[in-house]
Amino acid sequence: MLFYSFFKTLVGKEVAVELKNDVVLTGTLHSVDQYLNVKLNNVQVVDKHKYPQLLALKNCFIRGSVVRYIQIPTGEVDTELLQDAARKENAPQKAS
Amino acid sequence: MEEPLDLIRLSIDERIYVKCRNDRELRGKLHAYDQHLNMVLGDVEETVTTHEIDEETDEEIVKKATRTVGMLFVRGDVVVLVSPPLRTS
Amino acid sequence: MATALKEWKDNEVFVITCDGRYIQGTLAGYDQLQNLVLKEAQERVYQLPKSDDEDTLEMVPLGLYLIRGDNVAIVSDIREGVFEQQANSNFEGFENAEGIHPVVQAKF
Repeated sequence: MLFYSFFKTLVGKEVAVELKNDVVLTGTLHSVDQYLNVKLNNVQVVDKHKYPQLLALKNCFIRGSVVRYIQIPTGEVDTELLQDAARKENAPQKAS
Repeated sequence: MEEPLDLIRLSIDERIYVKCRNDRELRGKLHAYDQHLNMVLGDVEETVTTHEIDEETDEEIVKKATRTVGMLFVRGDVVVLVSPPLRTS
Repeated sequence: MATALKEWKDNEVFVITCDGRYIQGTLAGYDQLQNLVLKEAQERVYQLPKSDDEDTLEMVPLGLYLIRGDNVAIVSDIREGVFEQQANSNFEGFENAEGIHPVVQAKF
């Protein structure tokens, strides 16, 4: 649930989603679910000359399973908080 | 250290090397990961290696393209291996 | 976000499948696995890059179509006028276009 929570904090921010079919889409993160399916608003295709057929994309749903990377705006992330959350999420079971 | 992923836990806030599918390699600072090996890396350098066959000489040409990304979420299912910070030998 | 596709119910959408196909239709139904039912579905078959020898776009009628969620990459609503404008300009800007590649998944 760590990344689900993390992406919820980025709703409304601009992200670039790189798919496993090499298409890169930018847009405003509208929502995310527990499978890390994402919905983007106001989508732009990064390589318009290569994929003009995708210019008709406006608001889109991207299945989490086809995502390779998501580029995140650096200034929007509190890295210290994120690291602490990751340490907690992955803490050894016996520690408690 | 009990489990493989404990190794990665110790690498939080360190620069790591991640090998991904399709001849992609990442180097960056590990900020977060989960049990699927989804990760968030900072100050990332990605190297993509492509292989082409020269039509005339039939020789293989290996090209490497590098780019940098400020912060990147990597989906765990593309990750092949993760290596902790390189120690100077 | 089982409701992610709700706002497009009964609207015209297009789907990019994992094998790179491009299917357009009215979203008649969906579930939380992104299994989709498209009414009056048509496949947009592009010949790319654009050439003078053949039509750049062929619309293939498919009828009522169910797409299994595993094979869905993108579902999108349609930016108004784009398809019309592209057809009317005889696909200007498609000179260096490529088909959508298949999604490469790990085999487990």
